[in-house]
Amino acid sequence: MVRNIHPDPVPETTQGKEAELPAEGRGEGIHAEDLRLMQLVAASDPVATRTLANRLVQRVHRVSKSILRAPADADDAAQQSLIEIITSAKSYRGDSSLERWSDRIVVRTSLRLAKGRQKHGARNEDESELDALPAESASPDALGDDAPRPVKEYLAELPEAQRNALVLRHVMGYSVQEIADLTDVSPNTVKDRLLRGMKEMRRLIRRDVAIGVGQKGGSA
Amino acid sequence: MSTSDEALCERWAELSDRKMLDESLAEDDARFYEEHAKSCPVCSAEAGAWASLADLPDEPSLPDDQAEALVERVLAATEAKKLPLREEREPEAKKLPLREAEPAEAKKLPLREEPGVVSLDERRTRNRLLAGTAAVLAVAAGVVLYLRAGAGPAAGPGATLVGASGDVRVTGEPVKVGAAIPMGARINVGPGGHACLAFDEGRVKTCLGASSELALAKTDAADRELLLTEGTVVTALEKLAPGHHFTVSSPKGRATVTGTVFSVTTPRGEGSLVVRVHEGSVEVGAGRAVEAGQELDVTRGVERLVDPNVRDQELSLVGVTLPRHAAFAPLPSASVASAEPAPSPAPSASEAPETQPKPPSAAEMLSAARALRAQGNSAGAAEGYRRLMAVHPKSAEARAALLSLAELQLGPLGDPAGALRSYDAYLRSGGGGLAQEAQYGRIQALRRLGRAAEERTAIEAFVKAYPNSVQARALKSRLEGGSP
Repeated sequence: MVRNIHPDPVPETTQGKEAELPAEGRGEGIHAEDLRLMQLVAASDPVATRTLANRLVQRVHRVSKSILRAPADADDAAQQSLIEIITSAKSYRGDSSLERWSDRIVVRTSLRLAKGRQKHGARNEDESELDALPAESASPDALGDDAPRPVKEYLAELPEAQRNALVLRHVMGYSVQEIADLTDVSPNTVKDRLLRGMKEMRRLIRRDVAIGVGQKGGSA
Repeated sequence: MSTSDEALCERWAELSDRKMLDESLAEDDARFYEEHAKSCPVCSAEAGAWASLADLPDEPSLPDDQAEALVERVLAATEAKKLPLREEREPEAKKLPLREAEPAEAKKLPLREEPGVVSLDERRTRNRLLAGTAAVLAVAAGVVLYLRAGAGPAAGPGATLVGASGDVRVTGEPVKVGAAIPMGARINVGPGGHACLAFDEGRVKTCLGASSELALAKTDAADRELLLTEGTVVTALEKLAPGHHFTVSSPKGRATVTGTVFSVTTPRGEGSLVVRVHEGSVEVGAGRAVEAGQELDVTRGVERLVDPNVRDQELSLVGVTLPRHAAFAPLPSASVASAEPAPSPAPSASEAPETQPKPPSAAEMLSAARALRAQGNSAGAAEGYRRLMAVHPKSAEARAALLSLAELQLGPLGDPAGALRSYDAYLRSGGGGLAQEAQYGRIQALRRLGRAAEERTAIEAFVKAYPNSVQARALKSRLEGGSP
């Protein structure tokens, strides 16, 4: 579900030598390459930092955009997240992939920003409709076999909390407990949001099927 | 759908919910879940949606150039974080530095006291804003000076002549520095000369360039209006009180201060009117605002970036120094010299190095603004972008800054009208690699402004220009839906 992307090779240091791995970095199950990269980033190695940013930028932006509907907000969240990932490099232990580790930072940053936006009423749902459109064409492969419309469109119609719960659960692959931790609510609240979100999506899909909306053949 | 089918779908939906919550299904439930989805189009559609949800992370998110730009911003920000922290800024001081807070700046501006000169340095307890107005009118005015009927020194609040060179006349008579200029008076400055007036005990300073003619149409502090018939006038003023206006008008139009610095130009012989802004923003005509670093040819509706040489000339005329390192210290500050400005527009070589530090490069200013944005300081970043455009108006960075400014205005700054102006300015200046983004942003701005007809036109133009873009796909459906 969650995949590594842009698997750029770990650069050598700008001094032309590779960093020594800590003992735990050589163990089985440790993401040694990622750990070495982050050690270089923590040491302010410019090549490593740029490599890291290039490797994560698309993913970070995607995750931000899946949580924040407005492109400008997603841009802000992506930027803040990347900065935090770089400045937190020292805390990476290599016990999960770099992508998985950074996802948590991105999610937290994006949720924080979303909360701030809601507090200040910067955008309302209606205004964000256009913004929520994907920046790139949705790949046909990414669409469900029989989903009448792209799933993003259904997500966009859900209330923020339900939408985020679904994204974190089904897009990011977090457990209910992890979502509860990330969003500062109880696991039962997370379950409730998931169920409500799924129920609403189901209603929308069934409505589309009933009225003949179809992304493959148009109206049935 | 029959009742029995509905019951099957409900069972499937319940199982789907349990599955989505990671609950394990009994063997027969799991089999039913798989089999039913194959035969039921409704549940198959839902299953397809859930399956595609999991694929969302692999969809492309940013075009390469935007991804690169984002990386550069991040690297600049992380680099900036390594620098020593700057002093904390007071909220309001961010934009409007107190005069007392700038003793060093004051020292940079030696005073040349003259009889009757109103000190501009002693009374500063509030923030100072600057406005420079320059206008050249096509119609050469005769050197006809007059006082309005009943106007005279006692007729109402006027101005004081605080500086002059060359042939300066009021009501046709030569005047000396220190003279009171009553409301309704018309001031003429001959070729090669200049004249500076102070209003409100120096809170407003207006300088006329060579071959200029100006009438004091209204001099009440709440509603001051200068009527320029020929030449150049540059004005520096403190922030106006709520409800107060400062306007420079000409037969071709008018410009009213709404922020800090603005300018209006009507090139001689062309009969047009150009508004030029050095800091802040200026409202021109019916609500159109011009931002710092930009100039608007009101007559032709053309917006451009201010020529830095013109900017320097105008600021020099009024004796104003705008910090060149503003992008690094994002406090839009400006100081107004109480001294008479040099008659020559350009500062002398011997003085310039003392008063103006070497300006940062466009790249440095862009990095600084981006760093502010990265810190979440949208207002500071916007000011940094404006500074960059003002200092390096012809640079590639200025063009990039214009688009970044537009994004901020459309997003966190909540200023769709400003965003629209910025997008328009970007596109008018020749577009570029991000013209598509600018056009799309423009559509969003129009929508937020509720200008449906213009939005529709813009969408049609966009779809025609970029038929295969993602935005076009979405915009087409918007058009077909008849929303705009």
